[in-house]
Amino acid sequence: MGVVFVILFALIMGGIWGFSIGFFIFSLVLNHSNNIGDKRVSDVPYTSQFEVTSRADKIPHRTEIFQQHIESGMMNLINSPEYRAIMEQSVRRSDDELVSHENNVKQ
Amino acid sequence: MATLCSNCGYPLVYDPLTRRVVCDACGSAFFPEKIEAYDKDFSLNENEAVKEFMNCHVYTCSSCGGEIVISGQEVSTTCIYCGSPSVIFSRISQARRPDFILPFQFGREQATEIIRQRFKRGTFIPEPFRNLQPESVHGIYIPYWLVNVYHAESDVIRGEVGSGDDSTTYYYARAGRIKLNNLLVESSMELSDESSARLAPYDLRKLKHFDEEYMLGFYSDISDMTYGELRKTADARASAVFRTTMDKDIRAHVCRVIDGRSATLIDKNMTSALLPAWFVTVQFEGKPHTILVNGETGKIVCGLPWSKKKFWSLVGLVGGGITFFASIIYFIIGFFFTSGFGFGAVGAAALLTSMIPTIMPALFINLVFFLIGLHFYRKVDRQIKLTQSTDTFRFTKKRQG
Repeated sequence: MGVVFVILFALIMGGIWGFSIGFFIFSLVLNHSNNIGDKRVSDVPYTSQFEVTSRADKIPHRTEIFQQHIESGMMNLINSPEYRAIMEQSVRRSDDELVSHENNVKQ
Repeated sequence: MATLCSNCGYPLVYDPLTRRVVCDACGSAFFPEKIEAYDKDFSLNENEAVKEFMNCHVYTCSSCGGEIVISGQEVSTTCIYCGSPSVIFSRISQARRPDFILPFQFGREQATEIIRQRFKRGTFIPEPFRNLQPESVHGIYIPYWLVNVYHAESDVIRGEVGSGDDSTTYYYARAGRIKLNNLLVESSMELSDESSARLAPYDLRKLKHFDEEYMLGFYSDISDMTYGELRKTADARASAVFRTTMDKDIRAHVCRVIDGRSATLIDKNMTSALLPAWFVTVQFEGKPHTILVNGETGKIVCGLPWSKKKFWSLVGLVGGGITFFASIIYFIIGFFFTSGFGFGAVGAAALLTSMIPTIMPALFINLVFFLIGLHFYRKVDRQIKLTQSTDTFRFTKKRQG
């Protein structure tokens, strides 16, 4: 009984290793072979300027505190003179209008 | 209308290899920007009248008089009767006229060769995809808006600090802004946004001022995007970039935004451009698969079906080998361990009890291997669905005549 148990134990553990490593290796090969031109964030051709305006770490896990942080962070951003200045230069057309140069010039 | 050769009257076609507009009949070649202005008539004339009947647009070929059915957004096409390349100038009104165009950087044969060479390297790519003919590869200009975006966002993020049993969940609040310049937003609603986004990047330094002659011999559309769709796409892209950048500001791993608000402003001084792509549709197991190739860089975009028999045979073969060696190791360990307790139930119980600390990490490692494998497996599956998407197929089929 013990020997059978040892053989079963060895086969099950060996099988788990065999399947997971075999599946892992060939899924990688499959992804490389058949998933061509996968999008990466670094591929997106833009230049960006990023700035964090407010930070709070390890805040309590309470919905009302989450909402306070979100609201105050957003209010600071949209009340800033920079935001107001950029808003003056931004597109303000109704959602169902077709995008065109002519529409933008009219503004 | 077709632009005709001033030497022999045959329709001209843009050749990406020589960067000239060439005449296949007499061999004349012209610089696109130097084609005489009188050849381009932007007013709606009798020959290029686009008539609309029952939501169907009919264009009369200026070379043979044949009537071609075109989509509402097409601005250049090829006559299905005489093969003449045509630009429908009346549709390129000043308001919808693109500012820039990035001409094709290589020809149809080279595009076919790029696809063939890439497919040769694919272990699981079926045979029909490797035998493409250049005639089945078509060039299209896809319309894009280049926009400057100002994105403000305020989020609460959940992050993990530490690992294993020592892992702790913390919550972080971040607010900030990001300015993105020259963000490309694909503006033909007929082509799926994900397909066109994956064609990027394009080298925008190669953009030229728009000239219709670059479009000769290729299919192209004009923008049919609304401001609502533009805002939605720009907001999604800007938010993705914002969150990726913001993650680096938090000293935690596995960061995930659990709540937040955002506002996106789009500068009204936007420009539009036509960017090149080659496409080919291959039928496999009764389903169309559309392969796209960036007409500037040669980047291929597609997810292809694979031979499941070959995949599982290889998993079985390699997995079987690993199983064999791992089983021998586990058998030796188990045999020596159990022999100390005798080969009865006591030995078996002792083996299980003492091996649990070894088995659990092994099972965990195997689970990680399996989940990573599953992630890639599903990723390929998703891309195949995109390549088989009926939207992409309809978009390209209309342009294959």
